[in-house]
Amino acid sequence: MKGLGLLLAAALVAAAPAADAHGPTRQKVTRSVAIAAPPDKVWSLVGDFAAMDRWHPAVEKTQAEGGNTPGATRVLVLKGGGEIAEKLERYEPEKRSYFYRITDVNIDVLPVANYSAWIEVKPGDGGGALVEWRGAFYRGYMNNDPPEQYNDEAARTAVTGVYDAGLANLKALAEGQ
Amino acid sequence: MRSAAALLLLLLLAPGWTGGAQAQLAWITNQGADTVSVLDTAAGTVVATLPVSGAPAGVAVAPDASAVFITGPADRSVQRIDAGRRTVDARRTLGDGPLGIDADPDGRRLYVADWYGNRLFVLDTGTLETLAEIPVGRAPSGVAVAPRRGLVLVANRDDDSVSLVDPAAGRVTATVPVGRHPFGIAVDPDERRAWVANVESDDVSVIDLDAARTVAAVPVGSTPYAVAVTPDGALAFVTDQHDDTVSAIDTAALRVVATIPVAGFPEGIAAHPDGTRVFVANWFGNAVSVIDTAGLRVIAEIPTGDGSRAFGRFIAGR
Repeated sequence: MKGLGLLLAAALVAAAPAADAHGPTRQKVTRSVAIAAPPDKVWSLVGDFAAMDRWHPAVEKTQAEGGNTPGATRVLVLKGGGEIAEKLERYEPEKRSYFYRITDVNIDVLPVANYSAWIEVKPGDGGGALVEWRGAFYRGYMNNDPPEQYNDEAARTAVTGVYDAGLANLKALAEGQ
Repeated sequence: MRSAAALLLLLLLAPGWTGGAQAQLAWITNQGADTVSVLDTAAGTVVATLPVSGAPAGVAVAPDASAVFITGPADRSVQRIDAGRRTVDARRTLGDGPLGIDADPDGRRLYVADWYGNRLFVLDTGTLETLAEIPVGRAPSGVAVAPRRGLVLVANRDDDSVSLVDPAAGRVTATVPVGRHPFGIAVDPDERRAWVANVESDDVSVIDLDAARTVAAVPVGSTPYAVAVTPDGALAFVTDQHDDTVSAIDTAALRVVATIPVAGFPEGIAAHPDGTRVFVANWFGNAVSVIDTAGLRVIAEIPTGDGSRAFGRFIAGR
């Protein structure tokens, strides 16, 4: 396994793939984390589309163009190999939210297709923050009868692993500073 | 004024529509939950939640509102719901990926697009048996009947075209180029024009059905998915999936007159037959947004189930 491999291996192994469905249907994953830090501080970490390596532990570096203007692009170079190309679709600093989609990824790096996602920092309890990461995507294998490593379950498990790892690290960074 | 005229027109044109209690229901396929939410559109509440199968996506209500047909792309099924008893009373597997669906006002025929099979199935509504199988373009998605023209329109997503199908003759009579990746499609009540949401070109193609060609492209929001036209034909509403909005198009001026925020990831959309409201299924928001067509704003949001899709004509009446 390449790319997010080590990070996600545990999650992939832990999930028993479901008996397989035939046609692909759009999947969704929503993960969130409560952080004991002001929303603005959390947003200053997570809100820069051009610097995902600042907070996500699987990202080695971010090759970005266009800053935080809709239409901006970034290539996430992953630790251990693999790249994900993404485009910023909406940027709403007043809501501490942005929306982006993947424009190119090898399904051996992340087994998804037609992936789009939101990241949003909301006010949480006691002056803290609640960070929500929501993804909508299809499995990587878009025809009928996918191999097990490219089925719906594999896609959801991989995305869940990415989100949980990122949010846990974001929490540690924001609360530790 | 608009609604009274629309209602009158509707009653004159659609003898199959009874106007009874069933017509007040909306049938929302919830793809993640494998259920159908039954909404009382007058009360704005979910009155029943029915178990179905196959990550249900497409939906079409029978012209007399006695039955509802849904597609389950994940298990390649077509299911018929008895609207009175609110249970699935018939089911079959079909093709490679049944998705878009519409019911003929004749009450006898059902049309189902096969996403992977690049064909349109004509089914008998009573037995769900195949009456005909008609090759169309690649990745057919939305289906809309134009009954007085004897046509069925099919949006071919991967061909950037719409097939005009003569189901009686069992063949495509014209293939109309539209924008990039057409998905949802609707025919206006007088069957003069068809409206097609183009997911990749962020616009809606307007097809003149006499000329069988695209006569306009109306820019809308990001990733337009499906279209509904009001019974008086004055407004077309388009779900902008990635913008979490609905664009309202003035069909005479051919421009957007309002952009209405809704719950997350709007997909299926249908106008109530009285013309006063439009219902929007939100896939990420797990809710139906109700739009007031006079005020062009959301007046209610009704929680449904996980992954509300409702791709098709999910309220009876035309």
